[in-house]
Amino acid sequence: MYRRIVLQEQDFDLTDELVRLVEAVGSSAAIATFTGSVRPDEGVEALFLEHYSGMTERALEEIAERAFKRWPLQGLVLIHRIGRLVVGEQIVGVITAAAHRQPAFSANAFIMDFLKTEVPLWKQAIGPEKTVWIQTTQADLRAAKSWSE
Amino acid sequence: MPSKRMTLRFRFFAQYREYLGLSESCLEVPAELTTVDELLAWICDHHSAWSAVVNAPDKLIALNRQLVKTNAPIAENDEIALLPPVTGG
Repeated sequence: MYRRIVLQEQDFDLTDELVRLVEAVGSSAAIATFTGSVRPDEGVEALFLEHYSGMTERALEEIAERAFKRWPLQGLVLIHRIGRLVVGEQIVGVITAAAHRQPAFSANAFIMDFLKTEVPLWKQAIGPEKTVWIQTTQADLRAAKSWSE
Repeated sequence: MPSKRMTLRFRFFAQYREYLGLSESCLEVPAELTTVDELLAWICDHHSAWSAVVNAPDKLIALNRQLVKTNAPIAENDEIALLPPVTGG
């Protein structure tokens, strides 16, 4: 089983991460990858991602643990960035590997849904005129609730 | 005779930090407060500058860096963080 959970300021290369995962687990029949990047919304030049040192890392580990308990995963990579990220830059990368596509897809979506509702990370949109803290959407809350364990 | 006190450390993040102009603070509170609920009620009564954050309906509460419900027990030197709804991912 391969597990790599990282919180970092620097960028990451999901292809490198995928190669490392495949080397570690041998051949996985089903691998799902997700990358989230800073959207070019109107009036937004960058995002600032704030975290709670010590707690954010722990919360990422806990979400990974829940995914491993719920699905028969062979490998999991979860990388989340913090600090200032300009439009187009990667924010988050998730790779899930399993013997079949369903657990790979489901675990990947599960992790993303809980990143948006339970991990202490906050996005501030920075524009030329103003900065605004991004709000949780009802859709994000519903998505996380739909997994009710 | 003054009641016994305990010291707690508070942390604030994102919009709460900006609203209060404060990222962390230590507060001496009566030692007879036993739960997060009781603590938040005491803060509203005795430390009104924080009441808007304490009363925020959608806040999350972390005790020693773990999310907890309001009936969680508290003790001397605990770290309590009031967190705005999170927006990672």
